[in-house]
Amino acid sequence: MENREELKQLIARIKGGNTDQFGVIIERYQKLVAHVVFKMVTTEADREDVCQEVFVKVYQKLDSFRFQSKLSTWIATIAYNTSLNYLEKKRVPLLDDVAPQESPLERIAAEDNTPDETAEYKDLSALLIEEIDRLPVQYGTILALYHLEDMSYKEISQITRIPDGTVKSHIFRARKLLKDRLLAKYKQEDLCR
Amino acid sequence: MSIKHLSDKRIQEYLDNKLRPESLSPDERKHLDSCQLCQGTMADYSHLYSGLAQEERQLLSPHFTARTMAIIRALEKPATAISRSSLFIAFVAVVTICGVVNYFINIKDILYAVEAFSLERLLSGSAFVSTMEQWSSRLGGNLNILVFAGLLLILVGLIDKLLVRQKANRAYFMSV
Ligand SMILES: [Zn+2]
Repeated sequence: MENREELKQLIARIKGGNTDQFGVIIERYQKLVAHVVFKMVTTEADREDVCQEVFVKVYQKLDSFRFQSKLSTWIATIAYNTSLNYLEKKRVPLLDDVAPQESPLERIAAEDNTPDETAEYKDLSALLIEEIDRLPVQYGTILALYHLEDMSYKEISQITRIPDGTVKSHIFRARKLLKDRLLAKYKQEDLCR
Repeated sequence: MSIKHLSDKRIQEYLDNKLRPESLSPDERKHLDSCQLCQGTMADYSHLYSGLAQEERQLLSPHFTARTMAIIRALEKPATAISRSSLFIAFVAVVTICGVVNYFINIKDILYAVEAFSLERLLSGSAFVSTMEQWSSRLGGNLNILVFAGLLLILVGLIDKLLVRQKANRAYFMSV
């Protein structure tokens, strides 16, 4: 996906003073940055600002990028760290809202969704987005990197500084949570009809 | 059929490996072929996987690139201001050195020394030195005052450029 030589030339042109060429980098990596930032920054009004901050940092740090990793991994790392800083400022916890002992089914049963609300959930994608947003922010980010960006456990580990094994178990756990919650919602929807 | 169902973990691993048969043991495969419960779980996960791979939302606004580039271009400006001010510093340094040299050393001596080695002498005698002499005597004792006034003007310009405007730039970027 990343053509190393082409990227080297592009970065050399930017470092050489052709600032406009940085637009190519923004175009190419904005989806990746958004996948990280949008999962972690839940306040809609702040998301785009954080993405902008990420690209400004990428631009300012471009001199220190030495192709020791993929550019995508490096940019995702900046996006992750920038989002972490944002979360720290807003005091949003990363992983705390999943109590291991508690079954997801019980959690859902405890929530009082009115039949009207439930009826709004028609297709899987709407339900899924809803449920992903309810996951701890770190789970959502890791899932996005794995499933949307096709990154390996190792790359995700580099970005998040979480050991490979933990990344893997987070992914498995997040998917199980999602599956159980979605099934429970479907069942609930059936009951309400 | 063996009774032991496939765990969620094993089913996920199977899907992660793109359903490659070697990612399940023969026993597991045999079980999966005949167990409706495991096939059901597998179908649920399969749905989830395709959902996760397509989970795209309206991401960034269409003008995101243009807006971000505007910020980056604006960031470039203080950098050029700094290089311009370093030119200023260099210029002031040169003028100061000239002023100091002029104050302590008789400039005429230097001019004669330069003249001794210059081509000027070969071409037009001592015209160069006499011109400089005329210029110097016309200014009389006011030369040092003029140099001082010039330096003062440059200093005021520099303070404005380096301190006042830089601060305004910084304040702008803090607000971005
Ligand atoms: Zn089974």
